[in-house]
Amino acid sequence: MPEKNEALKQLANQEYQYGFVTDVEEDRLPPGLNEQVVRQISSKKNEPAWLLDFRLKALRRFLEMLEEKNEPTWAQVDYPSIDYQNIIYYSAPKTPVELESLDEVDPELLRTYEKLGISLEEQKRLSGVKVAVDAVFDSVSVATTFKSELEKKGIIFCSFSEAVETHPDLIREYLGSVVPYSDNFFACLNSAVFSDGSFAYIPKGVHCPMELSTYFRINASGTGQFERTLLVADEGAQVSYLEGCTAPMRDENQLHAAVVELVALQDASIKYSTVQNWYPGDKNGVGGIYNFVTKRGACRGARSKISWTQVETGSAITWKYPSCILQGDGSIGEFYSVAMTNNCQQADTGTKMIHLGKNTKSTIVSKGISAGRGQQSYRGLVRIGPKAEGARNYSQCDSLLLGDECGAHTFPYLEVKNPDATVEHEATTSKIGEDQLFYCRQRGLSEEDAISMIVNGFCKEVLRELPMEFAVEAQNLLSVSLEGAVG
Amino acid sequence: MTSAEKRSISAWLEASARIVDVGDEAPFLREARSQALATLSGQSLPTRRLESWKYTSLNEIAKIEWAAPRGPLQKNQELPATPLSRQAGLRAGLIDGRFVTEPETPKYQGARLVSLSETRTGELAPSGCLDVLGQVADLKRHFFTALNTALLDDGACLEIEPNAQIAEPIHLSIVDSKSQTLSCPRLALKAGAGSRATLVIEHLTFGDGPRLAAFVSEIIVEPQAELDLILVQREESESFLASNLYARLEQHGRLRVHTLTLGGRLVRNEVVSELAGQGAEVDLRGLFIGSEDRHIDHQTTIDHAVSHCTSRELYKGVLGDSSRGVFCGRIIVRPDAQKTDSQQSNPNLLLGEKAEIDTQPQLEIYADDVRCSHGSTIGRLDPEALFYLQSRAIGPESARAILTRGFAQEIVETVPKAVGHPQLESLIAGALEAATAQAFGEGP
Amino acid sequence: MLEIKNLHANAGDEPILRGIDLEIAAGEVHAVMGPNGSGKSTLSNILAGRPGYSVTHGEVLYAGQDLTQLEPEERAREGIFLAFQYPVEIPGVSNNYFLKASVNAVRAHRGEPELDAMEFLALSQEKMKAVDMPADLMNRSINEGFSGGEKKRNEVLQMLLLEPQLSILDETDSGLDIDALRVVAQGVNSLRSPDRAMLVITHYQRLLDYIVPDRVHVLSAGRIVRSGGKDLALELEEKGYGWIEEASA
Repeated sequence: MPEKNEALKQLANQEYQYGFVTDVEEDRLPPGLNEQVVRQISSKKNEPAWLLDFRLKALRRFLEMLEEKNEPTWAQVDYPSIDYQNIIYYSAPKTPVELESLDEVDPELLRTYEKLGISLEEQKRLSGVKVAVDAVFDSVSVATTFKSELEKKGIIFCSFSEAVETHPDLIREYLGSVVPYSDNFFACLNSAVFSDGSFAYIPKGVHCPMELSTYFRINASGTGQFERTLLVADEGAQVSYLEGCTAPMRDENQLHAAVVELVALQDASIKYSTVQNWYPGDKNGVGGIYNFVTKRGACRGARSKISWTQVETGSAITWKYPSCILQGDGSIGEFYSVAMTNNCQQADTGTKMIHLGKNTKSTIVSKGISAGRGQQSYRGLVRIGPKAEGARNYSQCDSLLLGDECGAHTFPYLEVKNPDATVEHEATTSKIGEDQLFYCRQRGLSEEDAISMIVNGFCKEVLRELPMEFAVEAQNLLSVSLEGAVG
Repeated sequence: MTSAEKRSISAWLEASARIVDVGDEAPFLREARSQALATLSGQSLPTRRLESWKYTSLNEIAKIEWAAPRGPLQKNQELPATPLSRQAGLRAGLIDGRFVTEPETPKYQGARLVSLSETRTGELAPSGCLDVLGQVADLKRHFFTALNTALLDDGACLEIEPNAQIAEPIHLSIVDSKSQTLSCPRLALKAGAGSRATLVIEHLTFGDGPRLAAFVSEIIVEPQAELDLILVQREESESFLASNLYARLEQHGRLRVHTLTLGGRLVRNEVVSELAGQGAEVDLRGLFIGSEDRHIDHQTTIDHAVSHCTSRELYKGVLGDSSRGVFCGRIIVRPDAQKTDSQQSNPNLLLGEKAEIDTQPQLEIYADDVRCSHGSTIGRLDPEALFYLQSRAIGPESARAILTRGFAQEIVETVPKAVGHPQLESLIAGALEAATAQAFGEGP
Repeated sequence: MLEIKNLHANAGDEPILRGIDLEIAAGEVHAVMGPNGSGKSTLSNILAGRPGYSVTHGEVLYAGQDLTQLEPEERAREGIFLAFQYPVEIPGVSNNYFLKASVNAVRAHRGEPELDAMEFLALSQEKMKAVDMPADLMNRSINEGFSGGEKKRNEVLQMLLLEPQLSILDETDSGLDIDALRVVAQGVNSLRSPDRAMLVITHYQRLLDYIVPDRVHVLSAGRIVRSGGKDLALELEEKGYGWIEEASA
């Protein structure tokens, strides 16, 4: 179908539109990973001794793993080995240590966020749909909006560093309680060098009145970003949290190894949505972010619920399995994912649903779109423990292939140790329907519009889980990322 | 490595060297054996650290000191007669790995089933089997295939002549008679172009004590040939079986494999089928029934190497008591394998309170013009169906038994009639009874 | 409006049409009838530009221009509409969204302003009444879970919305009960006008009771073996296709 290739290639040349670099003064440590670096990060943040201790334990374990060559290799991704001693582990815009208001934020930074479509000023003024934004620039949280309004309800939403100073007990109680520092290679690295991130605590019975949101941006070159997010929903609390990510275009690969921990106590509910659009590298696979992220939520209390929704269009490599540990009886875990790989992108993503409590329920809906030379794997684990009477899981993993050089792979693991459980997994892989394309074109739609429409339809079950403002952004991102997808 | 395991492995390697010492084998066989030895040297039994052994532990095997297969067995060994073998036209057996045939083998139209030991001199074996032996199996990936090859001394060669249409099933019984002894039965099978045949392979053990069999079969299905294989695994409860089956399908070749795992202490099945010619079709169907603390592991690979091939796969598990089932079904669609049509399904019934199933249906797809799907379900009997039967005056125990039999029946239905459906059904019924005795009660 | 001259065409690599000549003027309704495998669907697919079908010889002119050089969407925008024999299901894309995109693509091509959501709603509601289509079908995914009748009504609804110059109805009667057939035919007839043409492809005469053609052509083995007025359809109904095939042999 040469004519189709032509049509699609014309669209191919749209550049990554978030690829600008912001010129701000940076405070950065020299590259390298050792005890001194970790101590410096900790002291820059005035951290208490127990947190430094946590970091150092993680560092020792990580260096051991590095020695033992324990970097995970099981994922279906291929990248040259990373020199962990050649990464800058801390880079921060030179700003006052504590920001009292947005006025203190470097105006260059504010302009950066405006380019990203997140005007912090505007967010603050918006009266209709409210989104409280915490923005993390390189390694440091630069601004949090709507803080005072949230405080009235007892909601804490601030940068992780600030929370360490203002709510050390909460941090100490929950940090590492879902993802222990030794959990895996990248989580271990993060535990040693994490610099900032967001923290939120929703008190008992409180329904958070607005979406909480963090925008992450990697700016400095040669740096890794290691943020740490911790969300705790106390009994009966409810919160919806959004996360967006972008990075400038660079011809080097940059490492992003974040950890997200969620805790839902009895009857609490957390909805966590991500639109990940890190720089994917150019069409020949030069540059791009290595996105190695550990995300896990614990449904600790009865009837608690954690729902992950992700739209993954960026990064050169994505390695990410947002998971739920369903401890509380009747707790619910959900995972809705759209992952798109184009050009030379690789993604190995999925989820783990660990059913421990009785009558726990999980749903997995994964939609993968592979185009160009993109390689994509769904990797998921559903484990039903011996005590999880009445547990139920339903998984649906569909892959759509656009082009004959891409790949789509499905690796589910279902482990069931309780006869009273019901587990269903279905997966399909197919090419975009020729008959669907022809039908749309016969009705006057151009081929690229038809492809975009069909792909968005394919992802509908996931996109509708996103909050409204995000859904539109996600749809646009999908269309942009599709461009150049040779059918 | 446990000390017993060490002693076993060194005994095996020594035995392998003894076979080589005979020195009269065909060069290609010597080559395969030396490769196998190289692969094995310094290796221990596979451990759970290996991804493909994640759910199956060989610790119990490692604890036993296994003797190597040795010496020719006494003359006049008799072929066991089973309800299934009585349905067959042509019969032979591998007793402790040694080829045994009936005293008076009738001249059989279209098929030759002979001993592989003649290949050691390279004289008597049917030439067709030389194209098969060592050509399809994967020594590097599978420990037990390497082990079998290192100890390759005898086996069965089956050659179906081109265009032969054989209605009666051919029967190969595989018997382990010696306690604490490893046996290495081997089969090389060539289904000639345009032929049609059915082979039943029945695993049996006689007597008490643990047995360990590393069975390897290699199969080439030539263009337009159609082959039905029925593996009936019903060893005693102390037997360990590793059955590795490799098949290559040429243009428009068709292969259907039914694997019925009804017995054994630990059974590991590896089925690797390569769709190497356009228009080839493979259909893998399995039924595994676990009772007590038996362990049944199925690893299947369907490799779509070329375009326009079709694969179907259906494995059904029924797990009672504290038995454990593993199913890992891998479907690979290579970059040039456009127009692939592949479906895989793995429904399981978990009946025992401590029963467990681990299932991994995997799709690896590198071509775009394909239709592939897989599905897996795990659960109990459908309460709606149970209620329906009960509302028709059937007691709950009988209702469960009826539904469980019905669940298993789907696998029997596609077995060629000539194999003997009533005989198979009665074997299955026996295994189901054992698996469900505790879960459903012993009856009213 | 449409001129087909000595058209030879393949479906895949297989030659199906072996020399078709057909001329349809504005204002006319032509019926093409024929037994299974005679090439009826190939003809409609060639006209609409379905991938996998190729012209090996001959010409197809539409309003004087060479149709075979146009992409499927260009043909649609130029006013060619194919009512599919098997309307395609597209999961996750609402009928309403799809039709609005389609109508606006055609309008943009004609140099007309695009309709906004409200205008489109008003228009679609009006047209839906004409084909007696329940409102909720607009919010469901395209054709997904529609009954056979609903799918065909949806095709006619699209035709009414796009107001094509040349409508090709490919076995639109198949799978319809008599009430649905009447509704569909009414919708089609409402579009008949001196500046539009239609090509009705059908196996049975039944549809032609409702959509009365000006000319009837019988297709057999890739050729038009007989043409006549509307009475030819009745004759076929009575005597079967065997009669014509024999007569032409």
